[in-house]
Amino acid sequence: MSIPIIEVKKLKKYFPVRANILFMQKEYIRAVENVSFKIYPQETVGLVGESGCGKTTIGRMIVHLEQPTRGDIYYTGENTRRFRGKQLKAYRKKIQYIFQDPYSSLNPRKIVYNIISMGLRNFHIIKDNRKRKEKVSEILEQVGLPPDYLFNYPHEFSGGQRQRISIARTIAVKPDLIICDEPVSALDVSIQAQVINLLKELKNELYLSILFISHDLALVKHISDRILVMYRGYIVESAPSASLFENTSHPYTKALISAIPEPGLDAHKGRIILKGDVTAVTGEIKGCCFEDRCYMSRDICKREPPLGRQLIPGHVSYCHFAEKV
Amino acid sequence: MNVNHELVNVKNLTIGFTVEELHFEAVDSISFSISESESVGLVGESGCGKTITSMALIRLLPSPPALIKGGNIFFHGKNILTMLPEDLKKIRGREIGVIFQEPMTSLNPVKKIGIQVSEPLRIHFPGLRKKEIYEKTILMLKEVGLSYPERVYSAYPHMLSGGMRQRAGIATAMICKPRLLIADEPTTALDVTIQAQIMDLIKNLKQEHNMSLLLITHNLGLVAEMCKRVIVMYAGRFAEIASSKSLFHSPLHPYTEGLMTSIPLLTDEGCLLTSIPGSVPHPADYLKGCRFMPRCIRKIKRCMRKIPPPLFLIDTDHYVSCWLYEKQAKGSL
Ligand SMILES: Nc1ncnc2c1ncn2[C@@H]1O[C@H](COP(=O)(O)OP(=O)(O)OP(=O)(O)O)[C@@H](O)[C@H]1O
Ligand SMILES: Nc1ncnc2c1ncn2[C@@H]1O[C@H](COP(=O)(O)OP(=O)(O)OP(=O)(O)O)[C@@H](O)[C@H]1O
Ligand code: SF4
Ligand SMILES: [Mg+2]
Ligand SMILES: [Mg+2]
Repeated sequence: MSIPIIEVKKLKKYFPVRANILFMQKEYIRAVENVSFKIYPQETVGLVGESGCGKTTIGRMIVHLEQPTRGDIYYTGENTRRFRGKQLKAYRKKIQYIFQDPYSSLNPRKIVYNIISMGLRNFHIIKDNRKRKEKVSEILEQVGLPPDYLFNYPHEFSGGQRQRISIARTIAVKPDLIICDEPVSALDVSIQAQVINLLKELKNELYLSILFISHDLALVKHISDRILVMYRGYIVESAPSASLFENTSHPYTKALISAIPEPGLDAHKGRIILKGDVTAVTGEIKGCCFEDRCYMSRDICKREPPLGRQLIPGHVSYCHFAEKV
Repeated sequence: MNVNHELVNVKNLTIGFTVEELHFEAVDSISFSISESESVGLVGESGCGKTITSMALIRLLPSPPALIKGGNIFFHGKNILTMLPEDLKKIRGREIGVIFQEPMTSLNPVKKIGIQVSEPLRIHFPGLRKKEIYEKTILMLKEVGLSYPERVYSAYPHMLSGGMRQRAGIATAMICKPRLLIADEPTTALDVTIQAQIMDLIKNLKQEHNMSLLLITHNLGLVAEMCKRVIVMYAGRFAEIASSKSLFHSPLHPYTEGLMTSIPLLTDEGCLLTSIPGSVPHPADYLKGCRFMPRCIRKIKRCMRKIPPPLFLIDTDHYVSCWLYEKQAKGSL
């Protein structure tokens, strides 16, 4: 197998907090706990989980917008912790980030041409002005926007078009990996499919890898080769897309799948209603992170953290009773 | 639901806005009704007019800039639009409960949760003693699935998680056991597993108290699960009205069809999604004729005319506002 584009090993991120939350008062939010995974060339990995489970924090650590509390990130086998200067700049070019909010992620004072060509200039990809303009028009066309839009400002575009511009900006610098953080959740339902289809097409055309972050499991399933399910900072299950649904091996994943309302599915069939609420974790979790809401938990779940168990090759579940799920 | 007692009846409701000299009609002559103990879903994209339609039902539209330009709204036979303010007060919170779209903004940040949840009780049942009010409130907080109701009672909104706040909002809407619950995107801010909990809760409360429900959402799956009847709204008008079953088995309007195939489903295989081209228009740009026409892939010559397609009756209780169905229509609304 080839070398992963990105490999993260035992990544942790703790945020210090001052305010006291209703039921607990301690000093750290444990946003990410011991997370490890790999992303291979041309692979789309979906990262799914409920709000606040740490998805964005992982993405931000990968692009060095956030310093890990512990753990390392490897780019094609090299530890990025030691990257400085030129090497860091090159790394930042290869790993691009698309944000959730298409309204605030584009500089309102720059025309589309400048937004897209900035990367080309910054990373010394194309120095010649005329060639750069040709390239920008070409990229704009690639994301399905007519080149007449080159000299418009972001506010003149709809949400879906703005997200296309964000995508144009990131593919301009020829990245290896694009991290898409909820790229369509701010868009109207009828527009979402346009953007998702575009990402899929570009991925094949440009041999990209994608880390697709979302709380929408159906969407993640649609676009991903492999899926990581997160809960409260932990990865609880990791599997090839199809296997995650066919051989679900974690009670949280099972509840998540069953909770998605879908026309045509019989709602009451097998719906698992969990108890309790997801709260940010500030104290140390001794056992399983899902224990307090789990419908399968036993004594051992309170005491011992479940280790990753591979019931099927490539399919890992962090549950003491994975085979019984 | 054997006898069809009408609880809400809206006729030709038109809502206009005036914003900086610009005038537009965000809701254009819509009509619908809700029967006793019926659940109706109102779906449509952002800005199509769902919230203002429901706010008009209890006359909570911000006016200015909003103005009801025409139509009538009857609740239990009484005209809401001509009602005296004091009569209206008796209905709001008592007969009609509302779960507002944004739980953050509908809760007062400096008032304790318990005080806010119990407010409708204090308004509508002035004879109740303090202790009774407290007990009823604690019971309601328990009923909406909040553990430690006493602690939640004396907490301030910022101390609760989103799901807990949403539950507090439901408790406020439900505390007087209203006849109609308007739930405006009650779970959009929440995670799916919490959404499932809350929907379960609304279903139970609805059954116990024989309540009607108007569920507003952009999530078709949620509507399919919760509602017997669905109204699909596009750009300030109704595109299609049908029973959930009929709508999901045989969507008629090109917009409804497009919506259903543009959403990835768990049951799908991973092919390309069919997307609806173009984007949602602003109310100031709404067309006279069919408003979906510029984005429609099935349009015919008739669609270009400047006449809005009426809601054609196609099948039992299945209406569609689209020229493609003119010939096979059994009537129209
Ligand atoms: N800069 C920060 N300071 C303090 N806490 C933070 C910070 N950034 C994130 N957190 C906390 O870390 C946790 C994980 O946040 P993160 O944004 O990664 O979640 P997420 O999975 O992306 O959620 P969402 O789906 O809502 O975007 C949350 O509890 C959040 O409050
Ligand atoms: N306070 C206001 N001032 C001006 N225009 C308004 C106001 N409130 C609503 N509108 C207009 O009315 C239209 C309908 O708004 P409404 O809030 O009913 O949409 P909605 O269907 O509830 O959307 P969403 O799904 O985003 O909540 C919007 O397109 C908007 O232009
Ligand atoms: S009336 Fe015409 S344009 Fe409008 S939805 Fe029907 S087919 Fe499409
Ligand atoms: Mg996030
Ligand atoms: Mg709304």
